[in-house]
Amino acid sequence: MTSVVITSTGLIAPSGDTPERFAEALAHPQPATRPRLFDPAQLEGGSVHELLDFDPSAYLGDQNFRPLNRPALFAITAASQALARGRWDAESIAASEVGLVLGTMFGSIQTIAEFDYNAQKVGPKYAKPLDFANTVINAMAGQTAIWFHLTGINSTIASGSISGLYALGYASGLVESGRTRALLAGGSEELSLPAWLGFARRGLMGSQDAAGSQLPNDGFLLGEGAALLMLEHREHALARGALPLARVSGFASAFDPSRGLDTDRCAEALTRAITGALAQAKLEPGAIDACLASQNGVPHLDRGEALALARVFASHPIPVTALKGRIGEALGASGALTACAAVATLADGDLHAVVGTSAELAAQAPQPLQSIRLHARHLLLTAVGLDGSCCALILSAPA
Amino acid sequence: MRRVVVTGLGVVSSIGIGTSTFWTHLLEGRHGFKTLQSFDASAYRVRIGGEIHGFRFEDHEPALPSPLGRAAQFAVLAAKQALADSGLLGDAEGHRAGVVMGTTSGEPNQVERYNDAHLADRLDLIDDTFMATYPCNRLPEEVAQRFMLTGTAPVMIPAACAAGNYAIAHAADLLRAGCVDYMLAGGSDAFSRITYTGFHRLGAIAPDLCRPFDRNRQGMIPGEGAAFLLLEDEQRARKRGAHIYAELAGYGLSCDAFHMTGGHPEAHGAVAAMARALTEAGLDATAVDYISAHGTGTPSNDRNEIHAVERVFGADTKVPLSSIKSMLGHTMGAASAIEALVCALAVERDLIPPTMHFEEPDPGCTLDFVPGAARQHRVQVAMSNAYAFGGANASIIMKKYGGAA
Repeated sequence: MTSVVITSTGLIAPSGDTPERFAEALAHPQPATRPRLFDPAQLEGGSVHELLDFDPSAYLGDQNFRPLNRPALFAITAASQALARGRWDAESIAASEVGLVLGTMFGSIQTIAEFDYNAQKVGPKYAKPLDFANTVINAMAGQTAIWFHLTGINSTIASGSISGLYALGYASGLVESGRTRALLAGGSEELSLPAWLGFARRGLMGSQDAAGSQLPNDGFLLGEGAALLMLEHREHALARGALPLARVSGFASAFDPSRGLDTDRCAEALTRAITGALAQAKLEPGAIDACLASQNGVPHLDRGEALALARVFASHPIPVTALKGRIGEALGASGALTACAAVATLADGDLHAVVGTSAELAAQAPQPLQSIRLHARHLLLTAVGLDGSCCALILSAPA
Repeated sequence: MRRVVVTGLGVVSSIGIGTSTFWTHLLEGRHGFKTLQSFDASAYRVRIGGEIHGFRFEDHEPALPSPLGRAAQFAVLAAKQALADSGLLGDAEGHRAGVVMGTTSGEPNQVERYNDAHLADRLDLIDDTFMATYPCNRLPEEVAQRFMLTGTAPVMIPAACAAGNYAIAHAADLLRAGCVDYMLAGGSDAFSRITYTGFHRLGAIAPDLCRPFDRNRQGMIPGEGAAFLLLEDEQRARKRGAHIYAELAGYGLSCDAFHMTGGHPEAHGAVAAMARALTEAGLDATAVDYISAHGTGTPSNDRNEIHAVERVFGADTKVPLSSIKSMLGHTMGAASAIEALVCALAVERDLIPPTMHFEEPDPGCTLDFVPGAARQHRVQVAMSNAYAFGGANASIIMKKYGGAA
């Protein structure tokens, strides 16, 4: 892949509402709390990384937000930032037919559940028509497109917790092939009672150590937020005077039919994804400077990923990060938030939430997360889903 | 550029399970509209849908140890049919294959169960199956796991009513990029009270029959089902002697960015999607012999679609277009996958399905909607259009396979 560059980013997350604040916050433990967005009552479930006191008017001005639900507001806030930072206006957006690819695991399970709950409680003739439109999983992408008049390709990827990273890969393919010149790509996800309860009942939620200084080792802590990155065809970016922040060099994905439960098969699938991305980037493993990994505290998934990294980088161990130890598992937004962190690392050389090298990770228990300095030219980003899907993306410094 | 061909088909629908039965009933003009059974609809003014009554997964496949949601069951069955049809069931090259599919809602019945418990103040009843079956990514993952298709991550593109076309488009791109040698591409959706309640509240459901493009049309009828196409690299298909239904010639995607549930009144997005598909296929509009319409049967959507077709093909165009939603209702995320399957068959067999229940066009409209009866018609090129909530538009073009280049 030679033609895809990232020219701006935007995000909203519990730990920061700009890419700079987000990157800075990754250097320090972030608080996880009992949910406040909904009443957990006496229900058992983990702490969460919650975007507290989110006020969209602080980012978007005084607007009519009634048609929009929480993850749509996240997506629009992130898009607003990415577009502003890329110096896009209505005229340039229209001229370039900017599109949008949004990753999400649920869309808004909260909206879907509320619509049905209210209809069942008071009767179907009192169901809210305005809310029905937001029950479709691609509603956020549609609402964001309406807000900014994005008439290019509009797509949603709902492939579980790899969605955000896959959205970046999917969008890159569309730009590389010349099908489009500019695409906002990333992910958005919200906290909700159904998801929180559902994952707890499935035994995937973890407990946090008191200091919040390392990744849980018994499950994940849910997070939320949104991140969008502007992917452009290199020639198009240069023609409008945009400065590339990074290049997308390679992307690949694979599936493990053991759903992560067999460490070897999980590792085998991720190894195929990583080597596929390397092949597309025309890079050897030795060219990769670090991996921003998917490590989220779910033991069998983390083991599979660690084994894959140890195998691929056997002769050249690299630093590995566990950002979800800081930001939680933000599901469909995770990969995009990680990509924003990677763009920051390529720019300033700070790599945060490092959990060890690829060799150390496979051999030992999670370590306290720490920050290091490195001059990075190529970064590997990995995403391992909850049920066997995985993908790998390589971001490189702009040429 | 690698060519992409269709070598397998599979469908689960209210008018037949399996391509042969489905196609026969489609050409006969049978419809699948019946009184609702899947939930208590006594509080609803209209109680009609395109449900697949009496469907039991274990009638077709051995029951699996872990529960599958209804949409996943449809998907697994349709996928198996497509693989078997292509001769690739049990293929050892699954690491060079994958699944991309679309849906509108995934498994909304799981949210309904959650809410039933919530309303009864019994959230203690929610067990580990909720989050194991509800997320819509589980649908393509179940298909991939069942048939050992591991070459790509199973992808779900929930582009609502256009999802099937989006899935076909992405599968084609993966094939052209050389990542895989064959892909299952399709869509699935199961009937749900959530979806039915929403359309009912919008006043969008017809009281008895779906009458796309008819002057007296009164709305859509929600349905359910699934379809998969086996898309394959043309050289590989030819080399192994596979039967080729059609060639995927191109696709076009766009977004209205106008309204969440209504299309742009000038149909800019729909026109753009059709134009992009024609451009990629290297064809002029005059080359198209048949259009599988989105044709939901709602007054405004059909009017917008007529306007879009007239803009691209000319108001006096003679190209026939028909809507199979007149027989199946709107199967949501499965719709454009089923319609793509129909286009592949139309191209292969020079037969086009009818628009049923059509009696009178809108004033001034002279388009040929193939009313009332299937038609023998030379189909060198077929276009299938799909328009979704959120303003997503997708057009695909299939053409008769003409052999090696």
